[in-house]
Amino acid sequence: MRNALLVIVLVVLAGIVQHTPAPAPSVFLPGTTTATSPPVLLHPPLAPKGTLVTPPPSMAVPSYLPQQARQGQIAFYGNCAECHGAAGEGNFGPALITADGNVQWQPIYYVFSYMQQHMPAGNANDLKPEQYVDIMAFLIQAHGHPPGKRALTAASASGSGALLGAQP
Amino acid sequence: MRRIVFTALLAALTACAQNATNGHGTPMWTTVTDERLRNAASDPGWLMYLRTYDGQGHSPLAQITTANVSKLHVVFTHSVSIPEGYEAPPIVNGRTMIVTTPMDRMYALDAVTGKKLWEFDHDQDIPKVALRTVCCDMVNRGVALYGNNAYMATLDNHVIAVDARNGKVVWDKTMNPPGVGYAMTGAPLAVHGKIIIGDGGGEYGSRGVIFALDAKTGNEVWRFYTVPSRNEPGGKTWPNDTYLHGGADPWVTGSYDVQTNTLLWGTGNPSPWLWLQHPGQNLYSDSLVALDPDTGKLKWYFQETPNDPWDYDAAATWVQADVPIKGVTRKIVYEFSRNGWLYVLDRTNGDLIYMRRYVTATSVLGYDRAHHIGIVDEALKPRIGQAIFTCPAFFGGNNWWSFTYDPQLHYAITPGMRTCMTLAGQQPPKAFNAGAFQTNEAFKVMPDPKAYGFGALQAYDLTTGKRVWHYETKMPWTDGTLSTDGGLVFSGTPDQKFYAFDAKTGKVLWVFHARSGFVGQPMSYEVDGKQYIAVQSGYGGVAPFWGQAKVAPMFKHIPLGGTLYVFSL
Repeated sequence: MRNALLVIVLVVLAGIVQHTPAPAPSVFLPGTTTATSPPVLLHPPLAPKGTLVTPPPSMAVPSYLPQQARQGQIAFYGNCAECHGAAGEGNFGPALITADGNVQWQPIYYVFSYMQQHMPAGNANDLKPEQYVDIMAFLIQAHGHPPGKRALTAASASGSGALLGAQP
Repeated sequence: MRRIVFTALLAALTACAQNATNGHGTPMWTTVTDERLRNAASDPGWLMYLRTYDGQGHSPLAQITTANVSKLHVVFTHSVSIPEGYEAPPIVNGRTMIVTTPMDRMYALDAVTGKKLWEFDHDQDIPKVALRTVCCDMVNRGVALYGNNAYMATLDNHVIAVDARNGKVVWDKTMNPPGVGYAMTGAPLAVHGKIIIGDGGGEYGSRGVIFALDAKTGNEVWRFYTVPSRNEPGGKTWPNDTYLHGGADPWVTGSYDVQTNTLLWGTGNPSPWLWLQHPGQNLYSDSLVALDPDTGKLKWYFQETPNDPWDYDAAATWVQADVPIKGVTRKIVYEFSRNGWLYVLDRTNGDLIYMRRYVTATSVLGYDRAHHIGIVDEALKPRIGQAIFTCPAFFGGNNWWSFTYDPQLHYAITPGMRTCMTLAGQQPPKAFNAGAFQTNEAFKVMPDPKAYGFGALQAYDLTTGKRVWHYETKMPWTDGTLSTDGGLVFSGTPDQKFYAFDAKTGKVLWVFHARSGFVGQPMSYEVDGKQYIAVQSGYGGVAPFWGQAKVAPMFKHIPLGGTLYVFSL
């Protein structure tokens, strides 16, 4: 009986030993991969650790002046409303200002750059540079962001990674 | 005739014996049918990975409440020595509880007494070469139940049907050879007599695939590649033959929309990380794909991060809910993505309803609905020899851990990690090497300079998208979440703490100090009118790969090894 117990204990112990798995490969640490054959690194990263290639865009909504938004609204009626609707509700072109609009989940720089490069459709880049800035100010205002003390510029619009739509 | 009657009687008696009650009301085991799975919400057990097809991970049990949770105590435990991550929720049908552990071991207990019923161990059969293509610890996330079987997917790409009444193998199929880039860690999902399971291997040159196997025979019914070949729709988003090793692995369990008969399955990063090797949108990586469960045909997709160089999988289980938004009840599906954004979609067509950041997120900047594509900061995509700094780190704002939905409050509660990283492109090897670890980017994980610590549990009101409460921690929050109709939220942390929160306010009501840390999925069940909470402790998984000077020391003293804890009042 005692022998039987001993055998059981030994079997259990052997089981534990056998069940101890191979050490987990720390494959997420470069240089310590245990993959079949490690990737060949022809040269290590050149830039020092932590070096930024470019700073991330500003996550703040840029400031604009109320009169810019007013001018922008006029320019919008004249150049955009035919396709996007007088209230930006969408027509031939996608909705821009309704709650389910297409641009509210786009960052401001992206909307601005798209507008400059592609709008008005068929006459891309036909407006004056300041008109694009004004329309951008109008769109920012239409999405619920209050005006500030500084004017919106092409640079501040291009540098903003903030969503055009106001976040809850 | 008499003999036929006798045989029938015998069969009936045998059936009774199988459903034996042990003198209590609840049978040990009851056959799992499609109808029971569809109605899993009202089942006293926990019949699948996140309890119900919608993936809510919510239990309607309400015996344990905010008023009495402080009296919770351990009813029984079960320990396993393997020193790796314990991620699976115990699955309970009747009085049978089935638990999987790292290295693909499976055991069944009496869910009331903790007495072991049987054990099935696949670990001895796993060839060592298979373990080389498992990125993030030798984990398993649990079983699917169907008929009288439990189904497990394994690290060496087997799908195994085991008789849930005795632990005997019914069938065993191999989906991919070991060591060539594939591994399976997820819990399968049983839908319409099919066992549905995705592969993993986005760091090893795999091509993501979802399999549907016949539950009775294990024969393949269909497969869906999450990376289309050249002439399929979406195939042009991959140059040359890069689709063959494009990753996009659907390695976590998906959810299933019963009303529209649609599988909703998340996918992982494109492979390799070095984006320059596969310029293009890279469909359907970092996406939610909607599939017909009977044919595997794609209905629609939503991609979060195109041509992703940051390892921002969208693989965590997308959760379905019906939520009033702006006065209209919307059928939504949501995910707290690795890329740091909460996405709320219309689950009937994949249209974006809203998105918002839930951690610092600088790589992904938005979504262009008109062109059906995510917007990223192109300047933060690392070129060869350049390093960029961005947030979150590749672990993600959340990794694969569940974000439970509380239907009473319309709150989604998510674990969170507050990290950033530097990432630098590396010269790729000249030739593809099957099974080799290949990201071709080097990284360094660091704290989010704006955060209190590395972790947080956060609750969002999905009707508004606003955060209602958050609980910040020094340690990253690396555990799935469970909400209950008792007004509670349960989740654990690496530093061995298992918490109960008031779901409404985020107030800590109860803390249990366990043998090891938590990286899995808590669950709740009821047997004979008594509610239980169960969870595996056992630190491991992706979290220890935090490594590196600033983070590693805080993990150094966490004891390893697995313990199943079952609590009740």
